[in-house]
Amino acid sequence: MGAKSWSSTGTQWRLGTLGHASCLAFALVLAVSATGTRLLLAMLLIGFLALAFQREGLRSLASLRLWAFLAVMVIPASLFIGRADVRVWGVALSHEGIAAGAQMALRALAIVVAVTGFAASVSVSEAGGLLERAGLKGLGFAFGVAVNMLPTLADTAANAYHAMRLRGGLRRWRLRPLRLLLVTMMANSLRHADDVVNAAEARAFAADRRRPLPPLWRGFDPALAAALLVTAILVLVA
Amino acid sequence: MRFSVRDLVYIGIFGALWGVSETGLGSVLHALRVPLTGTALAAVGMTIALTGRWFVPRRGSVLFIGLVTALLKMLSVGGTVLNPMIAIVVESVLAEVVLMAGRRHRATFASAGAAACAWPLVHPFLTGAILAGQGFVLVYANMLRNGARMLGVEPSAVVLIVAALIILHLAAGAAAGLLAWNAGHLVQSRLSSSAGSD
Repeated sequence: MGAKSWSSTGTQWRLGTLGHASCLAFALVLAVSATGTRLLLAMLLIGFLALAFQREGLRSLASLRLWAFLAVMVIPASLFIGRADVRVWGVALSHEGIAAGAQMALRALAIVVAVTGFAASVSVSEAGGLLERAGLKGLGFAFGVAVNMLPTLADTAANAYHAMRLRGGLRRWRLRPLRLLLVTMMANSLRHADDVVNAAEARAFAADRRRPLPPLWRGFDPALAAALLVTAILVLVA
Repeated sequence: MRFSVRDLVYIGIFGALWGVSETGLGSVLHALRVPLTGTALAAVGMTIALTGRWFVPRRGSVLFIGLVTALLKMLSVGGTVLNPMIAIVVESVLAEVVLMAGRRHRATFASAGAAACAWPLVHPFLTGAILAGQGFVLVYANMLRNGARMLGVEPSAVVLIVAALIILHLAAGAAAGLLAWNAGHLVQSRLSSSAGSD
């Protein structure tokens, strides 16, 4: 069965990658397809899923940028869709536009909560494992190299920039100095490649060799996926 | 898509370079409210990814570089990750499609860059339509129409402005592709000369 973990905010069931992907797919399908009262029902279900399994997704509701983005949807829709039939603070708006804007905002909110929850709940190694299982062999290794090289590459880029700046190479922002900077950064970064290749080959790593990947699902996941599929059909069709 | 260990290491390095440019350069451009930030980031990203194609001249290398960068983007703390991730993946897919259709040549690199940099023009509308539904496109169309009427601008002028934007995006992408072709040569010769002097 799915592992249950107690947190300071209460109980949260733990899902595998398949479970989280099912929740995301459910939210996306309902958010894109549902309209009217079905959209409201979909929002309730998506909120329940976020509360139960992907609580991090609800933290996105605290973002001022998100609410500003939603306001940008509602306000223009109220002004430009339909015939103006109501005045709010002296501004002519339309009921049709307000309803359309509210639908757009709810849809966007559902998708943001679902995607944020998925990104926060699924580790990058699990996401990489999912892609490897889909046929993208070696992507997990390449990603691991990228993560480990990030601090080195950031330092290399900064050193190249400062070295050129101190030598007066960037006094004028023309194409040649920028190209030189880019070439320097890439060449210095690629010099590390041999060390990484030798280290991997010394450990008998081969991209096409089978190796253990993070587990795709936990006990609860298939049942949850089936339940979400049935629920989505009922919400959209019934 | 079969890659050797060396290919995957190069893919990881170029993916990390794209990720560093997205984070570093992206923050600066957004903070300075530079217009067409998406296009600038796409051009820089394509320069890096297409240079990666120079070193890993196999089908799928640019797509892998884009996927590594998108996965790195998932590690970003706070802020929206969905839009940049979609943009990175789609740009690398578009570039990969063009590269698979042509042979290894400067013009193919330029075309791949142009195809990828055309996406930022379309990205806000498509993702907005996906997020908010068809009403979003209707809102934009009505805004354009009303805006043109308010400014006393002929609707054909709007078409000219859009055409100019398209040309700008394609030119930026083509320049990125040509820069990548040139940079690939220079980086390879620099690595060869330093290896020879060791």
